Amino acid sequence: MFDLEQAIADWRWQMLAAGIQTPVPLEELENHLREEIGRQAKSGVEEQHAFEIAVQQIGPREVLQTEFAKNRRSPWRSDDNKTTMTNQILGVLWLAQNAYFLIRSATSPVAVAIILYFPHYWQSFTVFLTLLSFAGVIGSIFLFRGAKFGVNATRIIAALEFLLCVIEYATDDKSFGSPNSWFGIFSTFSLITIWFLRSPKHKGRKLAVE
Amino acid sequence: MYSVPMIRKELVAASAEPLVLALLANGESYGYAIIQEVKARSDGKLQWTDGMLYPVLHRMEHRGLIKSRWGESETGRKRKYYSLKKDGKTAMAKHHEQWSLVHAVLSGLKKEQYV
Repeated sequence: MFDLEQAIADWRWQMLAAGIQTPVPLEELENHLREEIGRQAKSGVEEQHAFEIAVQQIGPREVLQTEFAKNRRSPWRSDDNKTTMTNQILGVLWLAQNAYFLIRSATSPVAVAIILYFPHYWQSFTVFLTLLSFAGVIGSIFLFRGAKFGVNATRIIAALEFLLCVIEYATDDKSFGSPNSWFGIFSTFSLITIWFLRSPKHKGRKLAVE
Repeated sequence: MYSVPMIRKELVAASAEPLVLALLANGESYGYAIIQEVKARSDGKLQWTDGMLYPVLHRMEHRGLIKSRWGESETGRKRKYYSLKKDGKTAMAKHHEQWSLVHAVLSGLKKEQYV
């Protein structure tokens, strides 16, 4: 006597052995199998035969396994995800650097206001750095979210900040621990950012028709 | 009477994504229903190996074209429903453009042969 539940359980084992993971894919496949059996049975096909037809229609496990395996490639190995990850890490670091700049220059709003009206070489430098770091903060958020705009904006901002930091570092006292030794680190980081930024192919590929 | 032969498997594979997108544009659906609908609309000429649809759906979900939720079937079993996301609509429009272009070129050439 044919036992449908037993047959389905056996089929599940075969799929599992073929490497089709539980719970989601297998659950979905089993639901599909049951619906097909139900439909066949309704049109008068005997249960065992209905089961056989349904299994055949779902497809041989080797083929399914190959198809599912395509989805299981390690996300870290995929180029898209590597790009996304690099950009997210850079986005966070970049946000930190620019937030630091911003807080540092924005802590004295009165000074900024005075500077705006009485521009002097160093003072205008501070104003410029404030605006630049503000743009940097915005850019890093876009970068983190994987927008192409974020990559391009950050590249330009990083190049400008690199120049500014080098000027600042070169023209002042370099003893470690002084604020200016940080500019050395920042300028290096800016360079690293430009070097490591990758354009997120991810966004474009998502829509590409394969 | 002339009858369209079964569609070749390469074409079946290539058309899976645009068809799923277009189908989901009419509202959310689930694997089994999607397959049945495609079979019915193509007079059974477009036959998927049923199980192959699921990895395709999962890939599309991973790429952000569609999203899914677990619901319940009439018999009370869990069922995974898929629906279109914004990127999916854009992708559908692109597919449509490309397939229309291919179709236009093909029928243009065919017409010339009859002139």
